[in-house]
Amino acid sequence: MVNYYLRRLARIPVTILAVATLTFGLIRLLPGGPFTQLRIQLLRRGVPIEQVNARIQALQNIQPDAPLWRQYIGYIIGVFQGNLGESISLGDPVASILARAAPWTIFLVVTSTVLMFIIGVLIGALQAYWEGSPFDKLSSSASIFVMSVPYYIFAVVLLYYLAYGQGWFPSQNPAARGIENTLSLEYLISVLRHGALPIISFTIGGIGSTALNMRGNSIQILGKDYVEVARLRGLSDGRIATRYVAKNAILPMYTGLLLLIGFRLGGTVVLEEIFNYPGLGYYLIAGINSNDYPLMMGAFLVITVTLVIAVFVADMTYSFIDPRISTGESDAF
Amino acid sequence: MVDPDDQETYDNAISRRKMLAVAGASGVAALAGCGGDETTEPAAGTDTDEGPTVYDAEFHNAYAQNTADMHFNALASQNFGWTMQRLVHAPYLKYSFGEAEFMMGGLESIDVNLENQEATLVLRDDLTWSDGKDVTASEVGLQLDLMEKVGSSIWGYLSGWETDGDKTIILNLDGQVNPKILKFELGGIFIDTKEEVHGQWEDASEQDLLQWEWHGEDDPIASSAMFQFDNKDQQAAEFSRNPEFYKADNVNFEKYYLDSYGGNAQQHQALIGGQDIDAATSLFTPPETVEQFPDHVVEVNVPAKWGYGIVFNHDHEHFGKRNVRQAVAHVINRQQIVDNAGPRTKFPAEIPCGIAPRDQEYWLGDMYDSFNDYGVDAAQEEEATQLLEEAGYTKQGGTWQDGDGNTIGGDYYTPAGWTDWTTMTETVVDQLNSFGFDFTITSRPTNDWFGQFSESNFGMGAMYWLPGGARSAFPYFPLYHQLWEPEIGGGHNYRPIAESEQTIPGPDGGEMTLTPLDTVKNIATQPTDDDARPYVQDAAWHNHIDLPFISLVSKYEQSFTTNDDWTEAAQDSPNRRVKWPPFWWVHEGELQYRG
Repeated sequence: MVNYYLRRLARIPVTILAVATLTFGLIRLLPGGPFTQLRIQLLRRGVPIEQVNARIQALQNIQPDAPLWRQYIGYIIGVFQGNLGESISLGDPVASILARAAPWTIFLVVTSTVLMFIIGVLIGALQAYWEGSPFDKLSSSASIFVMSVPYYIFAVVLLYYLAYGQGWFPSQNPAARGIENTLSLEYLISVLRHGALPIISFTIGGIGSTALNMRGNSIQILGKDYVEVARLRGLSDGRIATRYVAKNAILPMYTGLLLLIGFRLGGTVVLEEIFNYPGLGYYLIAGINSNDYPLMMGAFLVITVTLVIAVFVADMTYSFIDPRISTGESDAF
Repeated sequence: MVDPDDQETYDNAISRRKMLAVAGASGVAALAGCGGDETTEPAAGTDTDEGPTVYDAEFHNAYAQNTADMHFNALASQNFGWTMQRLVHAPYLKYSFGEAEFMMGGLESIDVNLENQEATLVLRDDLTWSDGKDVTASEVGLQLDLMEKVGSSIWGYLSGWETDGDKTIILNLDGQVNPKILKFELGGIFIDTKEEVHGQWEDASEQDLLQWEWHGEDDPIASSAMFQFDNKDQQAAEFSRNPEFYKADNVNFEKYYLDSYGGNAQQHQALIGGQDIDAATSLFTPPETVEQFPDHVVEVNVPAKWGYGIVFNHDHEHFGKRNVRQAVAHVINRQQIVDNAGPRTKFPAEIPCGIAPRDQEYWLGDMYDSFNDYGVDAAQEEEATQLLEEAGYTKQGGTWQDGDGNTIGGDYYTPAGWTDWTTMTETVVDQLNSFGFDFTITSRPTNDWFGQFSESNFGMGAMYWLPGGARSAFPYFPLYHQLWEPEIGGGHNYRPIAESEQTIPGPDGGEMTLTPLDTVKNIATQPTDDDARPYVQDAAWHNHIDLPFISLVSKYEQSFTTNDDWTEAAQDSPNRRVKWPPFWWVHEGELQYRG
């Protein structure tokens, strides 16, 4: 069993190395160099070419033109030391930029995923309970519909009607300007109001799939012998629903939940751009727009590492939650 | 500003405005700190003995970038906040596109003496920093020294400087320099160099200076203009009225915000909403969106002196031939390009001669009618056919070919994502292919598109023919841009031609011999427009005959302000078309709170 955990643990740095290498290579396949965009900006601003050259020359100390292998080794060593380099476009350490951005993204993703899970499970359970009823049919159709619509469509629609149209919600930024960033009620309310639309947009689509999963699992379990036995024993419906059905239906979704958090972290790129929300995705786009290699790689890496860790945690804890799963015998997922 | 929390703040601001309008507000003396408790509050809209009523009002101007990352070092490599600068640092002078004249900012006068090869700049007596200290001539000299360190273009015309008292600086010119060129150079510089802050950079390395991000945390930002910098974060930069500003009476409101907006769409929505922002400095807005703006949103069109044109690779087997280039010019209907891409904000070059549209009549004078306009609103296919046949091309199966069967065409490079440029490119290529050329549109990301030209890896493509900004109003800059094309490192391969003697058909039916680059350089050394005009005419004539580029379209910049709570410059005001209205109008007192 210990060997199993060690093997799992050892895979993390290997996975990160592979991802860092892939990211490093792919990003350098992008057309143009890190300073081309800056060059054009300066020229369009009317800065004479000689001055543009001098300004760009001054930035060459980050050595984007150094041999690729040297850049690669430097980058990998930096990654394992926690040093992601310095952003070319912003001039700050990438680690500090991402540290500033990550809490906002985590807030969006965790909140929306938890909400999605709770609401989806509840709806799915009700669907299973009233299987075949008009409610089941209607909610199943609705679930399929929201599953098939990309979340950014909801984001744009909500932004247009609730923020720009009605003015009920803010359209951008993580909190109101002027409210001090402290653990005050005012600040908390402001953060929630600013996060409301992104969270709702990101939650709606996921509810459908969670509900359908829960419905399928529940219906399957409802037909199990031990549920029948429980009924024959005269246990109450509530007890059967919570202890026997819900618990066993949710268990298989537990791993999916952790994985989902990791995957959804990468999905915030478009969301944050729509809401001008300064999280990881926002800075990833900023890095891409300016061909800022260090910033791009840093953002990619943080998102990937989070996913890897989520998988690891799911893997490690699943056997505790469901003792039927025997560690070491299965390398599932 | 868009969010309800901020909306609340805005509403409060509005109510504060209203309240103060009723109760009156502190006068300038109070803001200057010389009134203290003794200041009286005058009735709204009336002037005190010390100055005008100053309202506790907030002006919100949308800004596309993240204000937290922007800083005030104009010499820095990147992240310089040019909009922030215009609030806290006064310009030396500005150029009015409407009046085609320079307007003084922090300068009292500028006198160029070409005999002595010197220019005397006199600073306003009342030009001070926000801490009350005088802006001195030696600080201007320090600014010039720092600019020399980073290779600023103004030093292409200067050999040194000396002061004459505290307020006068004499610039030693490096030979004959057209005064307009010097003024255009000074027009792009702002009074931002304070000895106490910038003195440290005099002996620093160029690289250190270029990388210095001046956020104001360690080195205070002294103001020489309308506002003082307060603070900034990711959402906004905040400024307060500077009572020491030399035209402080023109500023009758207390706060100015640059609000960070993610992009054009957000700014459009904020303007449509009508309450969140009071201005958007520079915002491309299609007509259908402008129509959705409330009535109190004012669109100001300022000539951009920048626009869509065609660049050729002059080493190319086809486009290296003058006949082919002229045929292309004849076939393109410039008016149709404008009609397709936005007639509200774009206009065609009357003559493709390298001079900005609407400046051509002034510079070409009597020669204007001698120029071939290549059909501004027509596809002159007969002329094009004749030119191509003269060059040995024949039309086979609807396509022009050379003797070896090669068609004239190839990839036509255009920047991806520049929506109006995409429309113009589609129009141009459609016109050319309808005539028998064989082009394929190749959209490239901006970086790649630029690289294609600088590596001479093209035959013909879309490229801006005017370098942009006020300087493009002076023919030297666009004509030089087209001959030398420093921005793509001469990748169009015209430099050897520009440097060599050329004989071309002249305006009088004979021949004209000139070295194009020398002719253009001569423009820069003439003391007056009248002296420069013959050189401009020769250079423009050569340009329209040999076509290093084809000048097609120019455009207006769109700037937006609002006139519900704020005043606007009159249509005939010389300040109306000065970049940029949300800043310069405040400077001149044309944008004030209505109270």
